[in-house]
Amino acid sequence: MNTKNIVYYGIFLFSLIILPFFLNSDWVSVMTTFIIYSIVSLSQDIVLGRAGMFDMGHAIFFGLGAYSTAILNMVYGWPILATIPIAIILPIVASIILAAPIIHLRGDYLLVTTIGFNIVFTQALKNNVFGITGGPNGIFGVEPLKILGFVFSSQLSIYYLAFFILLLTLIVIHNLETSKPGRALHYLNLDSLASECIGINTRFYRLYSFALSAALAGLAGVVFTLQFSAVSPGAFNFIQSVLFFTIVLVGGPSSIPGVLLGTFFMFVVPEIFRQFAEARYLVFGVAMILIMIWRPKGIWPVKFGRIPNYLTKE
Amino acid sequence: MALLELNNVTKIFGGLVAVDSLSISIEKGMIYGIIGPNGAGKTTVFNCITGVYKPEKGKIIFKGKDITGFSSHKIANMGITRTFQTIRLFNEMSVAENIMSGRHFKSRQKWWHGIIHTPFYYKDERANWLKVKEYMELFGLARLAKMTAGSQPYGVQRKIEMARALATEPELLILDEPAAGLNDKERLELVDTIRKIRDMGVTILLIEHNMDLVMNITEYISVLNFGKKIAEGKPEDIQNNPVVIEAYLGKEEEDE
Amino acid sequence: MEIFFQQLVNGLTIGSIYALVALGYTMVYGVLKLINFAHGDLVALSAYIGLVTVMQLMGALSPVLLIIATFIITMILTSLGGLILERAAYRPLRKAPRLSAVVSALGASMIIENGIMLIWGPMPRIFPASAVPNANYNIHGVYISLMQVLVLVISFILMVALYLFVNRTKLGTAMRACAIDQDAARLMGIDVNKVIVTTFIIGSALGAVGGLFIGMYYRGIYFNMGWIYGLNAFVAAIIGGIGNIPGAMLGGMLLGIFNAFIAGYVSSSWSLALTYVLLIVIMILRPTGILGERVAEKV
Ligand SMILES: Nc1ncnc2c1ncn2[C@@H]1O[C@H](COP(=O)(O)OP(=O)(O)O)[C@@H](O)[C@H]1O
Ligand SMILES: [Mg+2]
Repeated sequence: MNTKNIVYYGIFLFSLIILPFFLNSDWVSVMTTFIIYSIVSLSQDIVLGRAGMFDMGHAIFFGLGAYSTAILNMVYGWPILATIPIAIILPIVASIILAAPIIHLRGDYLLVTTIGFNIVFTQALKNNVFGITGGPNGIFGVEPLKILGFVFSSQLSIYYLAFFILLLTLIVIHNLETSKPGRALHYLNLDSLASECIGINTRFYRLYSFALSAALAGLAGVVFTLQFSAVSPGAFNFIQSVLFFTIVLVGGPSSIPGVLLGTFFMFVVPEIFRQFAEARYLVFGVAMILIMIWRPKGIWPVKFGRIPNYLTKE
Repeated sequence: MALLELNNVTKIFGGLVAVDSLSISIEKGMIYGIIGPNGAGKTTVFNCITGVYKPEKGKIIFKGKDITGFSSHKIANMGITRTFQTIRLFNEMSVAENIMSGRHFKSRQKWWHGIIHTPFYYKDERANWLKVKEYMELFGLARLAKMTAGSQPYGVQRKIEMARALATEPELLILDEPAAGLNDKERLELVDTIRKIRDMGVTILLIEHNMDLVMNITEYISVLNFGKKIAEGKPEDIQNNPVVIEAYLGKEEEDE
Repeated sequence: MEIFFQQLVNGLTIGSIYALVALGYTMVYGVLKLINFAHGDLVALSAYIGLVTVMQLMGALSPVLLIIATFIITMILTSLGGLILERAAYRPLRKAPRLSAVVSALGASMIIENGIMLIWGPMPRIFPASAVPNANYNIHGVYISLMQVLVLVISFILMVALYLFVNRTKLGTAMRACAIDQDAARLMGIDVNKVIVTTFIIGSALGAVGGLFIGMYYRGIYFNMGWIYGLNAFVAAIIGGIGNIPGAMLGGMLLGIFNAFIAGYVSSSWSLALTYVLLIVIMILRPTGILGERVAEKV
């Protein structure tokens, strides 16, 4: 990371830390949601932006994480802290099982199949499978997280919890970006055949991207459950997946600042224009078209060429 | 034992027999040429060797091991890499990142290094980038390291593609028409580079249309026509072989 | 056995509607390689246009004339909508990355859907029962309504007409050429823009018929119905092999029949999920759909 980027990220993270002191609790809750959705969008970007697979069912992994925590807590009485590993592992396992048979599909076919998975997933939640998902209304009254006697019950504490997870996500994605697996995703995205011919096991790395992104989405799901103390099928239906998909493309695939901007644009801006109620989505559609015409690679497109300094110096 | 051996390899597309019962044998350390008119099946042979296509019949044996039907990445990891007739670079990425892709298998980073950076990661990362630097210097690309690969002139792109393939440290390097689209100066440079690569101990198999270059650089040639081998031998023998002149060189004169 | 044939008739009716809508997806995909996500909403819009037309003209025209006029007016206006869509949302993005056009399509879908809601409100609207006389024919215990006959006959005629157009006319041939290789088609002197515009006009007009059928057959229409009908039709196009015109017809029929039997024999709360299970299974077994061709990449 160069100095300029460190300064940008420093300013961004610092503003997030001090922001709650200037906002009332309604807006802190909006900002918490923004952070949760940022994590999900960043994780969606691993599959869609970096590995270039048209995954339009990402809400499944988000939902699996959220429901794992809610069900284990409410139905089986687990403390929240103990549910977190499951809320990460279950989405990973699901992502590998779901993606393995379809990972070779051409772009649009993959897109439709993942929509299909998402619809089956929400339908299962609505039908109260195994009698544990709570049906169409979902599950209410999930307990707050307790760590060493501290209870994350205030909006502010949940905000900082979400912030912590976002920070973790940013570190993971930065590590990904600057490592062999992260580069492999870009290579196979740009030219899968050429990647294979220089020795990249494209199938493995495709699954890898699904697993990693599912893990992060699942973790975001835990925070979602804590934020609302509730889960319901509507929060994880395929329309949500379409939103995450759109966020990545509007913001800029593979670009961390782009995806964060995209999330802000899709989640916070509509909150600001809440009084315009219905018409705002119409304006939104217009904005989506205009942004794509104006910046086809997203508001803040990715820049390649992040190579170590000692390569260019003599 | 030959480094690479093809035994009766046959590849069929629909009804078209693109490669017909082809057998060739390439010794270690050689520069081997495959020539033949357009559509003769040369590229298809390369695709079969590198696992892009699976031949319908026949065996491909590399270092005594049957690799027929292996996936492309496995074959690459065993030591066969290639360039493409129509250049296939990661266009949006920088020259250095393109060449770094060739280091994928040699890099010993594991999956978790994409999540957590350990001290080993830093050591491995540095070692591989330094290797990239070496290859950039070998091909005279060092000052372009940060530039976007796709916006480079054609001749440079060919070099990047070769550097990328070479960065995998292959035993057999396969070049599909490496001189296509190059000017005279670049072509001379290419001859030098190919010899340099061979001197590094890499065996080279190439397809080329430019007769001067092929005759000048290769040590052994197979001639393909309609998927069949119609002749093989040393360059000077091929040049004087009446069958080849009729099928291939004769045809070229017609074109002009 | 009677239930079987009854469900078959119902399935073919729904299947014809899916097929009409699926054709719009598949034709646009054929020439632009773009999933036109706004197509479903255009279909919803056509149902509303149809409703307004019927309400305006009812009483002024005889029943037969009323239906003919409604179809013609709706088809023209919806095609116009398709033209505007192509012009405003897709044409500026023809050279952009493929996914940008997908986002643009999603944006257009949002505009149409919310536009409908702003104009006609969020509550469902009901097609007047008298738009099509409510006659039933009993054939050995299997009931077929006049509406069903209308759907089956008109769909069949339109599909045959489309088939003839694509395979027997110069413009249709140009369309197929563009679907195979747009650049080559352009070099051969084909006016690609004209082909694309024609594709949108025909696709939207067929979608309009589908939308009208949905309104007249199910009677209730609502502003966001484009998503669900669109998605089903889209699934039909994918099952048949997207980009393939007979594939869309086949996919539509298969999906319609499948849905009808699910509704007849399985609990309805799982019917939607089962449609997608079918899709997933087909995608795993035949990754390019039933009639879609597998193209090996030339290296
Ligand atoms: N993927 C493919 N599908 C169908 N035919 C192919 C494919 N690849 C090559 N061919 C055909 O095989 C024959 C040999 O092609 P190729 O190996 O590219 O020839 P060369 O490299 O000698 O010019 C040609 O007729 C070509 O059209
Ligand atoms: Mg060739």
